[in-house]
Amino acid sequence: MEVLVGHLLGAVSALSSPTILAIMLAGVVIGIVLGAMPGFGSSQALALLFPLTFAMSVDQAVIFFLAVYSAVEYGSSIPAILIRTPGTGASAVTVLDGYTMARKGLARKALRISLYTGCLGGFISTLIFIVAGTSLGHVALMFGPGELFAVGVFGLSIVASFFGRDAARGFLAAGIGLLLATVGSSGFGGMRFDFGQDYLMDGIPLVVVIIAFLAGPEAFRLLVEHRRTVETPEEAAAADAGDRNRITPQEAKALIPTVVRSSLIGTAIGIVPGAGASVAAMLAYSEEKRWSKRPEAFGTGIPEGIAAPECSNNAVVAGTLVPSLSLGIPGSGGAAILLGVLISKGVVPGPLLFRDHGTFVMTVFVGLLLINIMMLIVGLIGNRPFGLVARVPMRLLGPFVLILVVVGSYAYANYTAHVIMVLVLSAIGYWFERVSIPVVPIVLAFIMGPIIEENLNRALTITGGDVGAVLSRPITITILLLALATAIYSIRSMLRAAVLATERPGGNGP
Amino acid sequence: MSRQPDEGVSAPFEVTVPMRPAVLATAGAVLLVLILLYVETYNMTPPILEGYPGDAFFPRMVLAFCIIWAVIVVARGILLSQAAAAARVEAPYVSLHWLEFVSVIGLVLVYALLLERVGFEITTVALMMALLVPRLLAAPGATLARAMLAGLALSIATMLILYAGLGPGLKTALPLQFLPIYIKP
Repeated sequence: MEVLVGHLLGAVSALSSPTILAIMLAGVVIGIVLGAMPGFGSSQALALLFPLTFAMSVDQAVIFFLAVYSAVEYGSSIPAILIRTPGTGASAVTVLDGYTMARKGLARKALRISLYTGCLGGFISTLIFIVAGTSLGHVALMFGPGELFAVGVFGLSIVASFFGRDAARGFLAAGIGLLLATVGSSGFGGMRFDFGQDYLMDGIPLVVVIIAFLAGPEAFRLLVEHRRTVETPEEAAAADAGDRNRITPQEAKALIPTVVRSSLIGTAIGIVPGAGASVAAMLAYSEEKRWSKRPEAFGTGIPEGIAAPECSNNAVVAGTLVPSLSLGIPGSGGAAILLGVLISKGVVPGPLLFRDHGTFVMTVFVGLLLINIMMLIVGLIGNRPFGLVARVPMRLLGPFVLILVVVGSYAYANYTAHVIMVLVLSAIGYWFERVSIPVVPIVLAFIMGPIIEENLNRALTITGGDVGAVLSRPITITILLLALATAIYSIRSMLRAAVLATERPGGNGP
Repeated sequence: MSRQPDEGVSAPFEVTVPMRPAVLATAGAVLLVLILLYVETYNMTPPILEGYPGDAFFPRMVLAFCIIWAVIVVARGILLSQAAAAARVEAPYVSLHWLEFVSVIGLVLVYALLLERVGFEITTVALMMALLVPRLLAAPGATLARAMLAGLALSIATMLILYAGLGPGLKTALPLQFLPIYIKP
């Protein structure tokens, strides 16, 4: 308890700096603006803003990224509610009741419900972590190289199976990410897959992979498909819906159980690597519908239908940080980039982070509490102007995204080869998305590749190359069996979907 | 919000192919590359001590993993194609506006090659103009003169914002031609 209070005081002291508060505010504003742009998820936003962290200290960079990460989740609900275009996959569920409510002339009420419940979700989830996070860190200390290798494999098995409708394509994408991580100098003094090219000798930088597979394909999509984007006058009019939108005390009271349930769901889903905000939003919505006394009203523009997905997708942010910080396993694309920032600043995520950098960990979580408060204030002030951002025509958005991608990749190391790498990988990523090969597992696997390889090599070196000795440790074998079970479950689901497809010709599929 | 193309019908400069052959061709190409890379691992330095991991140990594991899944994707595409097509578990067609796609790649390549020779200011404005003007022209009632003017204004503003953020703001060494340099590369 004494240690906790000590870390808490240190965190409060670090966060009271005007610079940190200014960075936090900038992150919240930028995050809401980017999130409000259709097609911009937290991963794309963080990938684009990655170069801005080069000049920041580790505390500043992490707080900035968390502010952006949290704010994007709220910002993405703005176009989802106003013009039926979710900024991220996580807000797709919000469309169901949010857009319907906006069409009834209650757009600002829908936006307010989204803002209040989103901030509450983030707040509750962070409080849960502050109380329980340190204990999780202590549990994680029991993990050696073999166990961490197994955890990495387990993380990959979940990551790959959660993306896309086809687990095989998810696993293939994860494998490609692992492969890209092996390019360049090996840990044994040799070179791998460099083909005599200077620019490959140091490997592919993390920032290149992040920009290329997250922001790049989005830039291509906006530029290549701009002719297909036509906004109808009704959609534009919906953004200007009336101002008779107060949330009554009765409505607020009725939303309390929804907020509690959805916060818990969001936190739990966030802890599972790879599940992410989309899964949390869908699960929270379906659970809310199951608990509701009026399930038939869902989809007709009711407050619970907005509160459940919005609350849970914001609660995911703090939940995601549990595996990210304590085990080094990114729970989402956004968390993967956050880990990239930490690693680039010399902070190694993992069990020792909680022991050696307790104040830093506490700064992160107290910072998240402040970020949610700031998001509430900024969201209330900017409710109307933020809505205008969502009306930027997509055909004009593409060039700005592309120039940020190109200049960002060049500015990383003033190296033209990085721009070419980003261009080639972005084009591949765009095509992969067109044929439903998910690209997020590539980035997650790229981050986890070195963790898996280094720990496996270390464990094998310790045991004299005895694979049996590495795999026979109780925690290792348990985690590997869990990974195997996850993979089998994914494959079974995939096969079951195929069987259903053959049994229902002409149907809509799962 | 989005207008989807009619199934299987291509717009000008757009190629539309059924999803199954597109996935098969992509997975097949990936499989071929993976096999070539697996062969390449035999050129890597062997481990110093027998039985211990070496340069090729982890890449071979990963490549074997990838090859297995690529084969599964290809096999599923061949064996389950009729059923999947009937049930419409995914979009039946994939279309690509190849002219836009190639233009974007070409423009970025030219930008990358000229950036250090011509300078950040001119190349950035030129790239933005090349991308913005055709899109501004697509707006109802747009004229070339107005699109050029608006495109130029937006391009210069973008270049100046990027310069301010990366140059004086983050002390990044951009290859500048006439704006003040804050750090020497």
